[in-house]
Amino acid sequence: MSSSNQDRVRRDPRLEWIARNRLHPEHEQALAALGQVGGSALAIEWMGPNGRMRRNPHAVGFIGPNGRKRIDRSGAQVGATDSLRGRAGNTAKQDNRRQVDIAEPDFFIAVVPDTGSGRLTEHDRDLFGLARRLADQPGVEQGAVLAVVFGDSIPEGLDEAGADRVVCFPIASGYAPEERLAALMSLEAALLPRHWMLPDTVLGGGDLGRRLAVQLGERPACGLWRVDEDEQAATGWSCVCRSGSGRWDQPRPLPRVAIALAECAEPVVETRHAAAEVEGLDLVAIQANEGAGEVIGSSIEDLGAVAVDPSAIALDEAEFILSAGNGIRDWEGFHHAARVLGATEGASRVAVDDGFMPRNRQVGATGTWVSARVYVAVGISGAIQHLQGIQRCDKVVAINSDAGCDMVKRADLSVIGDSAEVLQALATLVEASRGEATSQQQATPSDVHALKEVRDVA
Amino acid sequence: MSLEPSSVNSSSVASASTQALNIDVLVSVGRHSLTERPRRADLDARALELALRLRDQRGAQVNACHVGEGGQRAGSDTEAALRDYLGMGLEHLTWIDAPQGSDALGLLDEHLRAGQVSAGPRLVLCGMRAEQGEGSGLLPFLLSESLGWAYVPAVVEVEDVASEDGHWYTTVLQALPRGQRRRLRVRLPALLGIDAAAAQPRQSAFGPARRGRIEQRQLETSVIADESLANWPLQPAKPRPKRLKIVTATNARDRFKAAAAKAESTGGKVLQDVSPEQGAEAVLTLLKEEGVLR
Repeated sequence: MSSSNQDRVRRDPRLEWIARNRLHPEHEQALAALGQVGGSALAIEWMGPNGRMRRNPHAVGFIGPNGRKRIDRSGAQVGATDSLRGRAGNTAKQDNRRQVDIAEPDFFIAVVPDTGSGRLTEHDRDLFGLARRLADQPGVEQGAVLAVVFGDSIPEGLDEAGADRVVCFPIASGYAPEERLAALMSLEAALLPRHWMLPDTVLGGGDLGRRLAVQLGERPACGLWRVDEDEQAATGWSCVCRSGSGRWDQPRPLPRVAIALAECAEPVVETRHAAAEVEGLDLVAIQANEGAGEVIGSSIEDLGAVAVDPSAIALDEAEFILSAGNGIRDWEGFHHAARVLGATEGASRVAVDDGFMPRNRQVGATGTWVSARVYVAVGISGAIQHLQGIQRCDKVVAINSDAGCDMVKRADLSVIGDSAEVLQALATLVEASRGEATSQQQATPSDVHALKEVRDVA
Repeated sequence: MSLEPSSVNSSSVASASTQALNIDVLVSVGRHSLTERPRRADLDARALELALRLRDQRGAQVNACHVGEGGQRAGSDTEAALRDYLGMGLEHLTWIDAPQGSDALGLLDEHLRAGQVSAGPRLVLCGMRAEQGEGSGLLPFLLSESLGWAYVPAVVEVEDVASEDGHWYTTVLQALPRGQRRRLRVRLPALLGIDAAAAQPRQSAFGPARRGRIEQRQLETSVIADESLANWPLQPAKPRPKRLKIVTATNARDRFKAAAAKAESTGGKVLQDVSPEQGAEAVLTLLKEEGVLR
């Protein structure tokens, strides 16, 4: 009882009445007593007499340099403290997701995400969205989405992606399809999921899913892109599969194993799920899998990644691009830095037009649309065509002498300064961190530059 | 990289004379994506290219095989496409008769089992998926299951074939996303699915294409209809709907910002008035965080 007394808002109607009446002699005192700041700085929001929140529209904005009132809705301007305070409430990251816990699921929908480089991909999220649709089918039964991941740790964001349960198999990230298949088969025996969902990627879910389907004696739905409810189908769902050439569609009932394309469903945005580890089962499953893995897993052995010449990688699929623009004066230094960093070289249109880089290295709307994980733009101011070309890049780093250019606005990290000096410092740092291994390469940069020059001239 | 290429090469060359590498290439009839004309399938042609290179380098024996509708052979589209393969430098090609809509699995299984001649190593190459029909890329998986051989998808290069402890192994390169490669050691016999990143197939020459023999073959295995195709026929593909940009903003300002998509500051860090070394340090930290520095 005492706690509820403390929470209750006590109102003084007379004081509020005085606060509303600007002509009242005690108006200022009443405002101060109610917690609204009296005088020049006006309160923006307060509780009205009927318990509703009232707003003072005159209190927004700030007085500009010429003495006129300015209201800036872009959020860029740091104005009066009042408007800042008001905005802070709006922009604060608030969690609107509804928590959903499924204690006793009637069935499982197993999803095997790719989790490229330890994160869920967009493709994985779409797949979880599809699995949620199948699990949350209105009816008597409530299913749970089971995420099956491989590796040492469970990737973040599975709860927001829509997984109710998680099973993690400690299998290394190398290519071991037979071992993974054995793990999935042990899970199949333990939980008997109603559906298996995998992303149709060449070496991830596409490979594993087809192997799983063959083991289960099931004809999988490959290239699935649409799922509809269907009374006549045995599973209650029908699906549409795209053929490998993209010219044909095959409508069919949804089988147990579905290998789906990207954008097969909307990702989960409104709910948050438990993503709890399945207890009791997983230990048994892992042991079974280890036993099986030793028997079968010997026919394919992963010998590890092979060093690839970064300049041989096509620009649109390069992971790490060092791109040069009009601001580059020291081209030898740029090529040297690209070689030391092991980055694929790109260029803006100006650099290509001036003959410093070949045309097939041009990034942008008129060149190649790139999708690099890291894009380092050196001396590129960021024309709109160029920014379009790098839309799909994850992280953009700008090295530029102009702090006000569009590329700096787009970049996640900008270094303002002379590009040649920064590149040289970067190359030196990387070489130093690699130590002895690169010191030999450093001894022969001149002939490489000569080669580059020959290529540029040609 | 536990293998030393030089030593492995020498041993394999020595054994190549006694036990030749047997390569079967499974080829299909492709269709040009734009003109829809029948042609050699691109991925299968790349597989054949790989096999022919192995033949030139280490004297492997290459057999190509196609399963398809017989009917009127001379002048048919299928024959024209198969002659494209012959024009790449094959002397003969096996055409296994199968009525339209039948399952190729049993026929290929029997053909490959019968092709087991000597104790030499055995390799089966094929494109990862067909250009016609369902094209789900499932056949090599089914075939590897029924034969009990390993299947490796997305192969771009066969580096080496060598024997060790009485077993034959091959070292292959597998294409990873983003232009990366991975080296795998696979125990033979094995099926390899060839990726689009493999070497360009050589041009088909007219003379060899005319001279090459197409050998018809009837198998005893009873032909089974492909029940998936029979039950659920293919339809011309409809364009997939474009995904709409969903904005779940609660206030007008955010909705407006989402609608007027202009590249604007995403709260990136700007380092101004720093020495080049400090700037480079910050960039290096980001590169290491993203794990792109090798």
